[in-house]
Amino acid sequence: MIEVEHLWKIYGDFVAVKDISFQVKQGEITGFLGPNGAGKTTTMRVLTGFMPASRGKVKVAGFDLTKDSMAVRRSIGYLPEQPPLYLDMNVEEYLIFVARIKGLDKKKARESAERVIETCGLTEMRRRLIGKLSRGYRQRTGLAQALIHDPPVLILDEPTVGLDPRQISEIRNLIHNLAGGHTVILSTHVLSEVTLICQRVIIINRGEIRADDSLENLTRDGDLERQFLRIIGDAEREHAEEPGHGAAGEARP
Amino acid sequence: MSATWVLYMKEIKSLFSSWIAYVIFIAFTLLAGLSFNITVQIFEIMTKYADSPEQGAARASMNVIDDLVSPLYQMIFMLLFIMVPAITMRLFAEEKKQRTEELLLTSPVRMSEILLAKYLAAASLITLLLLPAAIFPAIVYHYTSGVPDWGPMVSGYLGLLLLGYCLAAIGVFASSLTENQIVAFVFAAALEMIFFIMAQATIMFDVVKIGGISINMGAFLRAFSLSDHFAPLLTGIIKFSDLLYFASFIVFWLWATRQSLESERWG
Repeated sequence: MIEVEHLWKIYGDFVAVKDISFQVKQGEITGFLGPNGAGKTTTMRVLTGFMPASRGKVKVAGFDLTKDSMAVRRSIGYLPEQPPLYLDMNVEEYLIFVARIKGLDKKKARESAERVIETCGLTEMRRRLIGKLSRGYRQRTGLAQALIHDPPVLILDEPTVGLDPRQISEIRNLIHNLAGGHTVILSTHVLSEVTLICQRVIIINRGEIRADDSLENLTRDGDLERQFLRIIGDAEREHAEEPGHGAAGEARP
Repeated sequence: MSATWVLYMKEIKSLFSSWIAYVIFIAFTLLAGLSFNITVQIFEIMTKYADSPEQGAARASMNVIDDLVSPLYQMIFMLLFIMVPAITMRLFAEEKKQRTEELLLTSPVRMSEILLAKYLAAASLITLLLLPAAIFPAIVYHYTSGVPDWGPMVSGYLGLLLLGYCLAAIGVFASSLTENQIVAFVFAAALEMIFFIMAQATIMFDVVKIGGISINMGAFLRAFSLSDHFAPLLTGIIKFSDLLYFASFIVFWLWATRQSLESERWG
């Protein structure tokens, strides 16, 4: 469903994403893990077409991102790190607007808004101005926005950040229920979240993929947290040993 | 086209759901009314003075177009320099600040559709803003019992609209550069002023000699200034070249906006 081949993203002389390749099968929920600044958000922004890649090829739902960008955009629902909300609209109005720019007609837009208001638990808040919503409800509205055109692919950048435990579990259930019908990539810092909802894990550090495996394989010898710390630790050590990174002169153990 | 319409309606709603549209509308209408009052009073004083016996033929050289309608239009022209950037400053800056740009650019809509929707929303509000100002020439026409030529009144009014649309294009560009609305406002106002004072500056360097070639810098700069293309419209002359200037002015700044937005994506 998602194919990424040799993807690079370079800002000036900073390499944010370095030769990343991976594939996500239909119906799979994949967790993107990595420290802050590892390149998770950048990768997601490239996949959604928000930013063009410096090099490499991306295919989503069978469409090439550079050649058929509009078709790719229609196939993706995207929740950015900060939900893209218009604070001066109410929830329903906002969702109908998003549905319309995703290409749905008036009637369909209304129906879809109805549907996601229901699934994301926004019924009581539908006439409330988004600017007056609490953080949890804003996050839900952001998720509703990503689901509105019922896209086959969902890209969620830290969908549970800043929520309270009950809200987190609700959003997790929601994402869990999407599995099968939807292909999901989500990024997170919370390792337990991955254990709970993902079938597959991709660990990124400094723009490079350090691990790409099923959750089952990764956690075979020890829990995810230990594996994650080991992989990131190895990656950091390698990085420090590379020439030109300061620690190069040190003796190897 | 339907995406443009949806985006256009969103802009219009957003302008009217905030206070911006109302504040600008009230301020502009009050100040334009005040300008009309002042120009009429000045005109009255001047006619009285010209009517006094020692002035001789002065009375005959005065007319309603040159001494009343034109000065009024010029005052409104100045008002637009402040009002238009206030309308356009939020168009892109706000999308950047609220991070909604990310939603727009990952939706199946083209950059040109987004841009056009925003520009047309600003242009619509400017049209609405100028509508009440049409009453001033109408009053003049009524009370001078149709003596003055209505041509310059109409073409001058058309000039104000065109000028508003030009300033809106600059404003949209300024807004695309920053997420700070104040910066967008000041930058737009500064850019506008450059295109306004250009004509005044021509006196300083009329003919410049570069090497053996002499270039008429004065004429060159005048060709780019907004006020010089507005002036003929005040006298009732609608020239194709002036209309072409306004059109290319708008197209140029919208194109520049597109470039600025695209280059930002390439980061």
